[in-house]
Amino acid sequence: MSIRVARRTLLKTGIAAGVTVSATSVIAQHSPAKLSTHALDTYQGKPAAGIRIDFSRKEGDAWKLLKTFTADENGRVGEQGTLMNADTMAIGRYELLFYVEEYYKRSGVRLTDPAFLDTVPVRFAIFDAKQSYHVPLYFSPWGIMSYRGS
Amino acid sequence: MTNLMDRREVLGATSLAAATCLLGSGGAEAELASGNLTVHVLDLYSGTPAKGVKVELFMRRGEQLTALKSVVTDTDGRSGTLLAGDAFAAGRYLLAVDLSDYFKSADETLPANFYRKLSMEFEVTDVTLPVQIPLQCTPWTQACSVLPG
Repeated sequence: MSIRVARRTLLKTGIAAGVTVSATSVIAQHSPAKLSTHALDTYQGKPAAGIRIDFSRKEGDAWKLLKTFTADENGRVGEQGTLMNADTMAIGRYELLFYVEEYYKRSGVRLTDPAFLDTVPVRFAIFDAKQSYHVPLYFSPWGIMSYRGS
Repeated sequence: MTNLMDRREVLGATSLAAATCLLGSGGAEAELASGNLTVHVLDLYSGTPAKGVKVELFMRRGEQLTALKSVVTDTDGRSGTLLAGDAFAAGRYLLAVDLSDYFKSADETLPANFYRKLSMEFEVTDVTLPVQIPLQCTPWTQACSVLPG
């Protein structure tokens, strides 16, 4: 499989004194481009199999639901390009909405009523349609983490 | 350096207690288990996989640490398989990830004496399950997970 390497310049803001510096970064880019996610239940230490995830795109001031997904047994969606692939990838702002409370209720995990976390949105931009984006969510009933993965 | 682990017998689904009894015993060819250990370092400062990060793995027996592996992450920030097969044994491990040089080369505003080395100890009880250790980091924050499966 061929690997394309895209070079781009990132502008970074240093924490100290707000110093702005520029640097060149190399991103390994596996083709073809796609968007994928991975929901991990850090309360039970396992993939969030079956969690519901709404995928939306920002249009004007509104978020338009594109499709509702159910994570596979490994907590994953989009590995086969079902979220977005090289043909459908488009620059824009997107949202993955994770149904955390619903997932834990179905898992039999005891929650407060109402639960501390209901649904958790992760909003991010596709800024280059030729790149791949992996946007995982780590969550427990009390906290979340997301990042740009690979 | 002699590698004690090469001759260790590992049974597929033994309990921790049983597996511990087998530590150091030589002899029979190891039964292949599907478990393995991998590390993946993501740089949340640049939004890229962290390439070239030094990752070291040790095994702990009491107070003694035995160096098992020392690798550098690839272009996708991955360590490759650190342990697999009969080398992936039940027991306690120490993982050390040195982010100092990586971030100093990524960010020239960091002081020359910037030093950040993350170390974490964990126990492997079921050698049939893969263990993934993703690490998300900036120069100021490191988040490390030990995920089964």
